[in-house]
Amino acid sequence: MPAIIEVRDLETRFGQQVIHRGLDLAVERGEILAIVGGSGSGKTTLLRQILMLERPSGGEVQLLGHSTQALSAQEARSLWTRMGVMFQQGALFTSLTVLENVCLPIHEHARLSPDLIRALGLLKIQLVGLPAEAADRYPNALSGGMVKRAAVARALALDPELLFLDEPTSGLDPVGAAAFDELIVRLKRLLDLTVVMITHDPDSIWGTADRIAFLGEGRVLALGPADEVARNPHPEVQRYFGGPRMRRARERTWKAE
Amino acid sequence: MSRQLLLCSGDWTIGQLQDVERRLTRLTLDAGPWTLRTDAVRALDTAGALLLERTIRRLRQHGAEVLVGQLPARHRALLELVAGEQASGAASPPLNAVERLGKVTMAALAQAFELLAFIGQGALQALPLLARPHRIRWRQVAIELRRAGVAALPIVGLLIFLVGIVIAYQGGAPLQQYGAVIFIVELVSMTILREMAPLITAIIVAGRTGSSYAAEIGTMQITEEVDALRTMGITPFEMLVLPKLLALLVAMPLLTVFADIMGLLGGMVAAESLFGIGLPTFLDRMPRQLPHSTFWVGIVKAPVFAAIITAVGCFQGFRVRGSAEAVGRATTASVVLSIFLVIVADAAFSIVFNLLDL
Repeated sequence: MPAIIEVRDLETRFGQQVIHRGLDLAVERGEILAIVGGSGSGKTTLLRQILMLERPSGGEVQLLGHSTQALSAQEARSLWTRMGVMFQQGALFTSLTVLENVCLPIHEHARLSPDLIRALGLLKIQLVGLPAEAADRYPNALSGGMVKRAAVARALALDPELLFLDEPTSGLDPVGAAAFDELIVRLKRLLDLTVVMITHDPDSIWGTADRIAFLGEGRVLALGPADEVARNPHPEVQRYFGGPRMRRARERTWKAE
Repeated sequence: MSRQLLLCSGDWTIGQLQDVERRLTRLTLDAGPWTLRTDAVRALDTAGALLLERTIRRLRQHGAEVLVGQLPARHRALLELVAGEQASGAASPPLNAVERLGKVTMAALAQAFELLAFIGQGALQALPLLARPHRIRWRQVAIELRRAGVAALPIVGLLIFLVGIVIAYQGGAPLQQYGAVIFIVELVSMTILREMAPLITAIIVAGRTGSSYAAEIGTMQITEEVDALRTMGITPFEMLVLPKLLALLVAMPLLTVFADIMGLLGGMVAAESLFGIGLPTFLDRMPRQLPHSTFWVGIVKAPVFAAIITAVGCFQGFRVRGSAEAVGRATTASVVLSIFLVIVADAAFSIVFNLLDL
């Protein structure tokens, strides 16, 4: 099966500063891919380029079988309806309740009865593990973990094939982060999702992701399952995976198995 | 009883469902045993599954027996997934007109009390500071003075100049009919000095300075900067409000004097060019016909307006809770409320001056 996302020879320059230099990455259908790397390695920029929010300086991004270079506004819109994004801070609309946030894209793109739209919104809210009474609350009345869940519910509103998560577990307590990791795996299985996430969380890297793409020096330095990447001899990879927090998380996954 | 067949086919995905939904609502719900077949469904997502699930539930509620045994495994899994959904959440019923009126009234009253409490609290914190003036942040006062005063000069000057022209122009025409065009001097001077200069200045300051106070403090409230100040043992009032208040108490009277000059200038230009009242005549007649109090009556209002604008702007800023949207609302509310209170205060001044024969 062809890759769901294919990035070829990507180049990004901001003035003199080179972010990506010949970056290649292929995301397979049905996997959870974690993009990791030190700060400033261009993870968020890469994500934004895949999402067609920024244009790369060179190279090509193939998204769901379409090249993103020469898309009309209409085609881009229809591609966007096939993917869901959870932004780092949630980016929930503060003037809308959680339910209204989730129903907004449905209202926009599907002509269904209000009753069914509402039911669908409530379903997505329950699916991400939020209590029903959270549906009528405004985002500022939610805890950090609930905001993240609500953001995922909104990202899932249109049943996307692709789900992007920007640091899904950052700012969550360890219990909440573990529950969130479980949620992602569960949703992926239930809804046949392909998940691409940026993360720093050692537990997500070792526990949740099927494959890791390690970004450094402007390209993907290592790509594969976590233990394979961790064995990569490149010094930057070693420095990242050699840290004490990373080692402890790895030992935890051994014990779990 | 005959066996009924519910045969689903095609795309049951969120973008394609509108026809299916319409046709399913028209479905005759007879009680005979139903068999559900979805083999011909090319794509099913949660929206499609939800619609299917609700149809099954509707049939069952009408006493029908529905067989879902022979569905593809993936479809069955999706149906199970959506089956947990409860029909509707607990939405609070909409309020009727009387309840809404009551709610709005109570909110307005509560806000009035809060504003009074804020002013009282501010006074309690500010008065001891006045005894120790070295504790006041004079640098901050100077910065605010520049932002609220000096930077407002062009817009205040331009607007009041235009107002002066308009008053002379509108008032001069009827005076001319009675051959009393010379009274244009009193008309322009009285209106500008007593009413227009302080009022126009206050309205502009409320719009550009009061709103920025609300936005500034409101944003700090959201980013928890106000709380950070508190935990450092710095009263937010002392740091954020007092310098603004002091600066505006100085800036507003000065701006009003400037507005007096520019407004009279506008009136003089119109009087000279439209009605032939020359500058020397105007300047000669004005002090002879008007008591000095005309000037002071206008200036006295300025510090009061300044206090109102600062209090309302900062009060609305501190009231901000939660989100960026609240900052926008606080900014709007600060402008509306401070202009309202300024005009009310102006009316009160008129009554008092009338009683004092000024």
